Amino acid sequence: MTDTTDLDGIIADLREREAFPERGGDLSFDAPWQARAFATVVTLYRQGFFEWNEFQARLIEAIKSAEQADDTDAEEVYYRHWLEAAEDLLSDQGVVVGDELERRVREFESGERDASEFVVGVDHAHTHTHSHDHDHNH
Amino acid sequence: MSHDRTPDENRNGHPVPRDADPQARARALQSYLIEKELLTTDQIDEVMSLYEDEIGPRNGARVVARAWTDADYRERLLEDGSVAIDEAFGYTGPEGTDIVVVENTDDVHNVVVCTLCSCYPWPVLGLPPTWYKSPPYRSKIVRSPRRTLREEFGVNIDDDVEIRVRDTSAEVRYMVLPRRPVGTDGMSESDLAALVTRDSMIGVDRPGDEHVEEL
Repeated sequence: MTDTTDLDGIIADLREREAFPERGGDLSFDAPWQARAFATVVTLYRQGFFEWNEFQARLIEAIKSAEQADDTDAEEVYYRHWLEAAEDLLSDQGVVVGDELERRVREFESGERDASEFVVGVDHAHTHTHSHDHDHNH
Repeated sequence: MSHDRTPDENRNGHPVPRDADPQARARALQSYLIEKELLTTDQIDEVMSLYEDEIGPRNGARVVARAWTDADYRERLLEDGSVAIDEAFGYTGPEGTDIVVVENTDDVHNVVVCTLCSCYPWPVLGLPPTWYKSPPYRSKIVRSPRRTLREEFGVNIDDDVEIRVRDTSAEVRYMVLPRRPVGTDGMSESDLAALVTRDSMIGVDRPGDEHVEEL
């Protein structure tokens, strides 16, 4: 697996910055997967997979169908809706086909796949941001 | 595997069951799109760093400071928020179309909520804080705005000031133009921008009631 991302590291930084919300971007993620879900969806939008209001409509649907008058784990609940909205929209668009995505979710749940797909290993943790050259196999 | 279910039993028409572990779902979605070469990690990282470094309430503060010091700009901003913001500062993007700027005055206090979900003017304020997205805020601020501002945010709005609750919708994003604090005559635009808080642009803070020395 050659695709890596340093999202998890970014989140660690972000959470430190939350002590100064007025200075930074004020991102209020509670866990790396929430940032991952956020960034994936915004990237899909930027790459033209959908109009923003198409995603918005799905998000409203997801929230409506599950609303509870409870704000425990507000971020987790919110980004679960966010995932649901993205999955549903991509499925309707035919980007996600059949049970391909569900199978993959199960593989991550069972540990068959793991976060090493994303997290840069300790041995080259310091090379991931600006020196990609030697990581590429042609 | 412990997840023996008939395919549609838990999915109810959704491609992934709602009760699946969200971390696995987020990882699956990202890795799926990358393996299909629909997205790249660089594109995703770019979004993260944009929202980390460039898109946040400092943007809105600059817009407010400009409106405080330039009457023509203030007028354009109140007339068509998105256009005035994009033209002068280039802040645009998702959640950035149809930004409507509403002005606080001595007699009117505006406060913003999204009762449907979490609509929020990202290009000028960044992503919404957790409380903005929470069901309690979304219902309480509509039901009893004056009390919610007092009890949850410590902001006392005089009884003779009208409170307008602006319900952001799928079509419109509101941003509050707060009043300029007293005692700031002659301050530079950038010094003024430093006085503008995120909360004042949502309307859960009212610094215009204060003298600058008290802020």
